Amino acid sequence: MKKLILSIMMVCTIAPSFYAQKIKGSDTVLPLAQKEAEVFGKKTGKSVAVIGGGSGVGIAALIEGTTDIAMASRSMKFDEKVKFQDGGKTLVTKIIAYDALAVVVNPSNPVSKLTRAQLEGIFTGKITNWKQVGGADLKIVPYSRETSSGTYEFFKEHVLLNKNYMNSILSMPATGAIIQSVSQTKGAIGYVGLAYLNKTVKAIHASFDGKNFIEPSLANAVNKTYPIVRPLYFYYDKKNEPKFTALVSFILSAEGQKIVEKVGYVPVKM
Amino acid sequence: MKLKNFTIIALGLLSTTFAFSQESEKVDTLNVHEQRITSIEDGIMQSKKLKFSGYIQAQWQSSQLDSLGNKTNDMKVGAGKNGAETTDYNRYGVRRGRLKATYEDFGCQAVIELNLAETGLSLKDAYLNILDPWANTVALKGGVFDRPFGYEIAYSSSKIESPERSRIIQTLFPDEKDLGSMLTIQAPKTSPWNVLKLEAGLFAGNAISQDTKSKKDFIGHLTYNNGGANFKYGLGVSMYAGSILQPTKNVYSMIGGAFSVDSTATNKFGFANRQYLGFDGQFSINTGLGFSSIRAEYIMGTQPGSSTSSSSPTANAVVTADTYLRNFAGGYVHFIQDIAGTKHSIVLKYDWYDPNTSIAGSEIGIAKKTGKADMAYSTFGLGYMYRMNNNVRLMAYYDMVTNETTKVKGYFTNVNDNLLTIRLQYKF
Repeated sequence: MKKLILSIMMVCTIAPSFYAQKIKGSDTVLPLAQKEAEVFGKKTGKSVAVIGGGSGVGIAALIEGTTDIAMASRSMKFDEKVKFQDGGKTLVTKIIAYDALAVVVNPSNPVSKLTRAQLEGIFTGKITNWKQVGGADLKIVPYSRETSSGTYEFFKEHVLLNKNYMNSILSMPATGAIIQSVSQTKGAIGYVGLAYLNKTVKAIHASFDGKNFIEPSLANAVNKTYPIVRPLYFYYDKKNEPKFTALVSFILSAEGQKIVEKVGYVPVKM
Repeated sequence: MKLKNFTIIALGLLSTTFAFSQESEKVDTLNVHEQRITSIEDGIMQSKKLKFSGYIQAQWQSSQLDSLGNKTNDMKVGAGKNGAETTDYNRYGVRRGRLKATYEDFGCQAVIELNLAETGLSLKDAYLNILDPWANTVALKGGVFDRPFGYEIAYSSSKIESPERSRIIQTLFPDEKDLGSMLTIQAPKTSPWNVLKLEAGLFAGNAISQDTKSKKDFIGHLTYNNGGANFKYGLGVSMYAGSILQPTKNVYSMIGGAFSVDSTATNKFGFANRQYLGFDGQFSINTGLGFSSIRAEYIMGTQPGSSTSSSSPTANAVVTADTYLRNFAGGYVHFIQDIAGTKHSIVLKYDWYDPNTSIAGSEIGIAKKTGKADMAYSTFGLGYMYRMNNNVRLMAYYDMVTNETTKVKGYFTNVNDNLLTIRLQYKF
């Protein structure tokens, strides 16, 4: 009996220290949040669990109360805000970094620059062959993220100006899958976060004014010449703000923002 | 020397075997864990297909006694007033005790919803919904479910910001539900046509009661919904083209400001037209003041009723009574303002229902065959809501009910029948 009471007391004493703050959502924010959580954990001894799934999944979990923080690569939709408010909660929005979205093609593709209008034509299905944009006589194979992805929404809103993707577009469940598909398909084109760029794909220089074609790079995102840049968000309930102050302050600190840069994103204070 | 070599070789073999066996054990353990995880995932996937949800609304209502001392129609819980109650009276009651089971797989659903309260157990929803697997654009629904007319009918009681739906909705669409089959046509989210939605079907026209006629009623609702990051709006048009069996040969209609009877023999077992046209609109915006929402609906048409009521039928058998045809009009305007992103909201609602637009209030009671069923009502409601969390909501609401002043006994002036409702809701 004595042992049982001691065991219960020990569990009660130790349990709170095992409680981990839970962050869920955007696959784009995932590598950044993981790195920040790792360094924050080492510094403070506080555990932070980071789980992907997509911006929509994270926001839905926040509304249902199954995550503490939702990470997202798009802003919350009106209906999501209404549902959150219906739960008697007050939303806190924090921008923790910015991300430049890079349009990528197969390295063998001679096309290296595209205007926004051309990108719109390609992803809405009006431009179907690379020769229509100065490339080889090759069918264009566009890849997109799934509809639950914040990247999908952002690209549609800012690059396609809210026009719909072509019906037959190939939807990929994760950014890694887009990189892999584009690297293996000659006529492929897709879009990924800057942090995911590697040598297996070629990044397109984009132009929104039709004159200046800018390479997607951290430097060009910081100097604001690259046009496809989006904020990355943390969302949580105001009631829980004191619990997250240390973590959010750390991410927004000089040290946290250095991690942002190291992972391949754009710091908040550019 | 030989022994030493033998020992080294033996130890080497032993350690290799041990290492292999350790490696093999690790692989086995990993496999076992993988199998367990797969099995748990399968179980979770399976259990996710069946969902239970529901809500309980416990409430206290206090009503003024009308000049005739009757229990008002607006009090939804408790028994009528007793002999000792001569001024205001109040009642506790469970307005809703809903339990809903939804099984969903491959985009198709089967739903059963029951209501449990002190008044007993009753069926509220029982339907299947099958979505076409090719274009994800057309869905077929069958069973007992919300009629596709206007906005307020399908707006859940667990969400609605006033104690009850508007008087016109309660009168024309008792129970909100009906038996029937319906097609829903809406393009997938990725299509630009997703903003449009058409729901249309054939219904029994007898609420949650047995179907009593072979002739079915058509109900259709076409909506357009759109919005931005901080606002949302919707517009809709609805149509009801149905009929009600005439159990007798006497059919009354308004001619020259009074009811006139047509007693042609063929009227018996003929059908009276039940026709409504509805318009609805909603607008919500998120500003520094919090969420603001305004919703409005207007319905007009012809309603067959009886001498005592303009309500739509809800009985399991045809009630033998003469048919009274009335042109009606009504609607509501509902405004909800959240207080600057807090848990508190204020609610204002105005609704009206004129069951007989062909007669002025001053003529009701004088003109032939006119009476209580022809009297217009308007209600101004003022409410407060507190959303504690995802589950709990508190509502305090005061309805100021005004009836048309008529020449009907007891209704020469506005009757005292205002109503206070305090409601606590738990949703799960």
